[in-house]
Amino acid sequence: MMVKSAELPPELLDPTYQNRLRVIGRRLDLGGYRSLNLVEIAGGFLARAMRPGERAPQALEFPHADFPRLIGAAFAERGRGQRLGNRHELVPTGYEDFLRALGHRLDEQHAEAIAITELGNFIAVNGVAPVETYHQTAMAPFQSLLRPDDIATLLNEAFQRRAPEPQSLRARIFSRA
Amino acid sequence: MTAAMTTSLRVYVIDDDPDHVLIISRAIREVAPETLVRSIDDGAAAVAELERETALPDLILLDINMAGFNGFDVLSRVKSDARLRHIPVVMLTSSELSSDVARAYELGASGYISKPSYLLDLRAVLGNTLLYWGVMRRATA
Repeated sequence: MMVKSAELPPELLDPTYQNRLRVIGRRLDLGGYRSLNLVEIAGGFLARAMRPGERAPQALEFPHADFPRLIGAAFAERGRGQRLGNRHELVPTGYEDFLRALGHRLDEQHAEAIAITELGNFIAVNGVAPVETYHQTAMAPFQSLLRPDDIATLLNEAFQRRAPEPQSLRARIFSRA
Repeated sequence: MTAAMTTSLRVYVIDDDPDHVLIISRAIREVAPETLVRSIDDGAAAVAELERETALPDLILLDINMAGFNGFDVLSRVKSDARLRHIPVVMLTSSELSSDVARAYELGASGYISKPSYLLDLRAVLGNTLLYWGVMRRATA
C-alpha cells in the first residue's frame, strides 16, 4: 500500500535527518542488516551493511528523490503492529528507532555532512555543526562515539518525547510525525 | 548518484605498501577522476611534509599497519595539530579488525576503508569529504 505525497502530513516530507534517517533505518530493519556504515553525500546517502549469512557487505543507495516514496510506504504501514525484530546490543529496538532518535539530535545540532559507523562496541557519528565561539558562530567538525549507555539515553529521550498524552485524535496522528 | 564525481580533491595516501597504494590510486581515479593523489610511504615523512605544507590536502587516507611510525602515530600527530586537525583522516585497513578501527575513531579518525570493499567505501568517503568541505568553506566564505 502506498500513500501519495500529497496525503502525507507535510512535516513528514521535510528533509530533516529525523525523517530521512528513520526510513533508512526501516529499510535496514526490513532487510535484517547489521554493521552499518551510512554516509551522506551530495545526492543522498550511501550505506554499506551486512546481511546475516552473507560474507560481503551490501551497498544501498538512498537518493534524495526517493525519500517521498520511502516515507509514503513507511507511513502506510504505521499502526499495523509490525515490529521488524532487527535488534542487537547497539540498537536494541532496531535501526528505525535509533536513526530516528539520532536524526532528531542531529537536526537540533543543525548538523550537516554526517557519517554514521557502527563498530564493535560503539557507533561513531561524524559531521559538521555550528559551534559558538567568543565572537561568532563557526562551523566545525564534530564526532560522537555513542556507547550502549549513550544509545539507551538517546532512545529513552526519544520515547519520552513521543509518549502519548491525553490529546485529540488529530494531535495523536501528528505526534507520530 | 552513480556518476563519477567531478569536483577535484587533494588526497594524501599514506601507506608503505606500494601495491596497496597502486590499487587505491586506481580506485580513486575510477571513482573521482579529477582527484589529485599524493602518495607517501613513510609515516614520519608524511607528518613532516604535512607540517610544512602550505596547500594542505582535503583528505588523508592512512594505512593503520605501517612499519615504524604507524597509522595511529600519524593520526595522533595530525589531530593534535591545530592547523591539521580539520583534515578528515580515513583509515585503510586490510581487515575488519574492529579493535583497530575503534582505536582509530577514538583518536579522531573520520572513517575507514576496508580492502574488501574499496570502491564502495571510496565513493562514500570522497562524496562525504566533498560535502564536508562544501559546508566548512561555505561557512567561512
